[in-house]
Amino acid sequence: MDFALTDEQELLLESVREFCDRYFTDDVVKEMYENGGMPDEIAAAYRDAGFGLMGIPEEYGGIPADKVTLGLMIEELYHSAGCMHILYQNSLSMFDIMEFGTEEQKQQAVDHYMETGWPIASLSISEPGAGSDNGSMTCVAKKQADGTYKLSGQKTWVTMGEKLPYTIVVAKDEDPSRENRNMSLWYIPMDTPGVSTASLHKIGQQCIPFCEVYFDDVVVTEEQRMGKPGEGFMMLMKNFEVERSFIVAEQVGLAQAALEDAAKYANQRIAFGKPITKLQMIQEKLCDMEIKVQNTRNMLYKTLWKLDNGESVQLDSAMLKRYGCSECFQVADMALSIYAGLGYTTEVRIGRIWADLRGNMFGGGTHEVMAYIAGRQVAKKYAN
Amino acid sequence: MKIVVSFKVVPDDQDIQVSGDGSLDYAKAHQIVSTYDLNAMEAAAQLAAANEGSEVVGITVGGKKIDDSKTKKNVLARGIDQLYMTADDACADLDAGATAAALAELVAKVGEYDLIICGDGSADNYAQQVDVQLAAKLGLPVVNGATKIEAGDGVVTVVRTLEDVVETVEVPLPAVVSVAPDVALPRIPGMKDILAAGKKPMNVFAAEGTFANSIEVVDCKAPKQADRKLEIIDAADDGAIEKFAAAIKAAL
Amino acid sequence: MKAFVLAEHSDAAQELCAGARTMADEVVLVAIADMEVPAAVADKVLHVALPEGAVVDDAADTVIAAFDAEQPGVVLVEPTRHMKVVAGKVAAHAGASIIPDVIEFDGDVATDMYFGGVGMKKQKATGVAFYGVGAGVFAEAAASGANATEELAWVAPAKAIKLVSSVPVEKSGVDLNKADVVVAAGRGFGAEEDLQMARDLCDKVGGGLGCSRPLTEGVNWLPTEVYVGVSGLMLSPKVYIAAGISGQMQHMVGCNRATTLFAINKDKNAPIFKQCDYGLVGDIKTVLPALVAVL
Repeated sequence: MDFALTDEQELLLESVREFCDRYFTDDVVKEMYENGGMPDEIAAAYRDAGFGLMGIPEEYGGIPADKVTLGLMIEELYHSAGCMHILYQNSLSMFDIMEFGTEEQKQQAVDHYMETGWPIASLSISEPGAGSDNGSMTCVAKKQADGTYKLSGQKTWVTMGEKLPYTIVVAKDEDPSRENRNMSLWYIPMDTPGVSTASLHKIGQQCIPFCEVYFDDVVVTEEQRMGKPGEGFMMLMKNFEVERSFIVAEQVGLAQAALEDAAKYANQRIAFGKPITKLQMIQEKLCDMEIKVQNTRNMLYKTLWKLDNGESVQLDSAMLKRYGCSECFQVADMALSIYAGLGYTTEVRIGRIWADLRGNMFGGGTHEVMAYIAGRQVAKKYAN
Repeated sequence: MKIVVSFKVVPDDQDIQVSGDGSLDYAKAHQIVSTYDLNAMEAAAQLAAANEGSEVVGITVGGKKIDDSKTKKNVLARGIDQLYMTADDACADLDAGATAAALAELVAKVGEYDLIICGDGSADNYAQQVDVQLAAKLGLPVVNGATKIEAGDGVVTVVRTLEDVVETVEVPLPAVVSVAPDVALPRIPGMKDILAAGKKPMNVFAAEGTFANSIEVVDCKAPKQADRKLEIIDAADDGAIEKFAAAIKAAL
Repeated sequence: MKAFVLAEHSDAAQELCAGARTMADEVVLVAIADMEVPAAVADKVLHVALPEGAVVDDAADTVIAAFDAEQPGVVLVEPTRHMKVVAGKVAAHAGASIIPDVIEFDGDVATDMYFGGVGMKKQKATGVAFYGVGAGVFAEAAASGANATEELAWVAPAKAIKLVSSVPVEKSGVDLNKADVVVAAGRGFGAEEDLQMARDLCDKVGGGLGCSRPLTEGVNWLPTEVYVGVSGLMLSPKVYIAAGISGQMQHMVGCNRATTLFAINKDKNAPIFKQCDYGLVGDIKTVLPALVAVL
């Protein structure tokens, strides 16, 4: 086993730190949370440094990268920035387009990205009545006599839905009933007649705005379909496993930042005539926080390593998401305990990180559904 | 044009520890390219980009341990085409004159060149002298404080931002120009640059000559903190502003 | 022993000549171009007239000829960019290196900063000593001498640099090196217009406005010449008021020789509160106007 990073990985991490130090200054981060977004300048700089092209195929100007390297990059992006920005989540819809899109869709997505620094599309997956329970989805596309399709339904938690020009919608083919498992992906410009949105307000991760998207008899054509008919959800599922791992990479990065903040504060904070790091209750907290971060990190990179080696991570990614997201949230929670009253103010960033990390316990699949996915597999694994 | 850019590898000052007796401990410090030399590299890379067919050669001298694969790739990921390095303990801890002598020996191996660019000053000594000493050793004209460099026919036109004036000068080539940090914002190397760096030529040499310092270091310790009163008050406390103002008035 | 003084400004020439007097029996001031030579500071003044279109730096060959003729044992240099080139070339000629930015002398041992103040390096020259010396180091010394002036014959450089233009930099007016009171603004100032609060405080206390690096690099709210810290101004005023400055070492080395150091910062854990005489924990936006009102 080799836990050492290559020169190239270390240099990449140095670049990421340089990038975050330069662009995610305290003032900028504060503004991002107040205004719900991120300056275009950062998106452009991220593109220029080539970070957003990592993992995109070379023929589209991308840079080949294994999943472990991507994970390292993401962890550092969030660790150094100290905030839950949009940058990595941006890549997820790009990955879907690269994998399932038509030649034209792929080229358009890359051109748009190179021009603006922003991805071209959001992902419209969850519905008010169907989150992890995707069978209950009711959004449906029905074929019309003229060969076009009419798309109807409502999507929610659509990250960046109001900012990006396109959205990728998963909808059932023809029949919205629970029994119908056939779904397709549709690539839809947000300015298509019948598409409308409503903002939602978050209690954390405010710089990654999400919204509801309504589709009212939206006319779409066969050319707008991504990938094969009927396999839409299967396609997304495949990328869910990677997405879950990368969410944990964000989570570890921010938990590490929380741990560092709390340890630094505990070294300075004097109570009963000495720094509180001399108190055993605080020492225990710091120790447990470090264990949680290190454990999650080990599990994360093992999962990514398996992905790189073509092994199935259906079980690993679900366990990782469940365990990692909640352990990292607990790290932030313990950091908040160390800060106590001060941590509950906006004077320091720990409260913000706390709220940010709580969100990742359901984004990308809830804590409970992860147990549902993993539990069945564990039972099966030891059945004989 | 062929542009040589000189840089120094130094311990990262963030990692330098102060021992109990005030001496400096570099054991935990990893080595980095001296900060302002990154601006020099960027200036060289931008000048090369502005003049088609240009090549940028990075040069450095230092102790044996600067011959480190990550350090070399780091430099070559920043718009530098190839690297010349003298990594020899005979080149460790040199003063400006001795550094220039070691660099001059290395520059001879690079062959023909048009321009040597140096940074504003090294993170450790910040003497701002290697540029001048190197030019003197090579018999070249030199200017410092450059905030803009443009290539002309056998000359570079340099804008120098000095203390009292902004000078525009024409320097005949070959020449040495040292740049102020404002000259260019260092790039953030992306993975493409980093991957390409490992494939670029890295020419590492041992020192041929010996390089004697003319400055003897007697002692180097962390500074003692001045004794300060450390009376800290919270502005929200009653009469805090008045108390602070009174202290200022008393000190005036 | 004989001392050479290489300076570009009258006040620096005055102070370095005074310092040279403490080190040498004979003080020789080299005055290049149109520097106004202070009265009665040196035994000898060697004047170098610049030919039309020449840069100050190219006076080096002329100074080297004078150096060979006079054979000084110590050379004091004003640390400006021009003088660094001239003196550097003379040092290279003498097989020496300059000990730069000396902040203290103890006999022939000179102290300067290492890694921007992480360490203090005490050094000695093995041959002719070349020292770069900033303002204030010889503030206590007195200059004297008859100023016997000699004109040096121009020695043309092998490859001359051509001066195309020279445009004066607009100065803020106050020379912070000479100011008794300095107010310095740092990153705590979120907007350029907030600097007015610092200027108001300057008016009240009769001080000059300086800053930490972030306000000159990148945002350009203040000119580089008022930046206090590593590679900028090294001050020793009576009163230094740091507002919205966290107290990074790179800044503190430029002000920690102040007689009394005041700090205002909203972060009570800012390192500056461990290095000041009086600290006020509060947001500059509310504290500065309140302070101006009661001063």
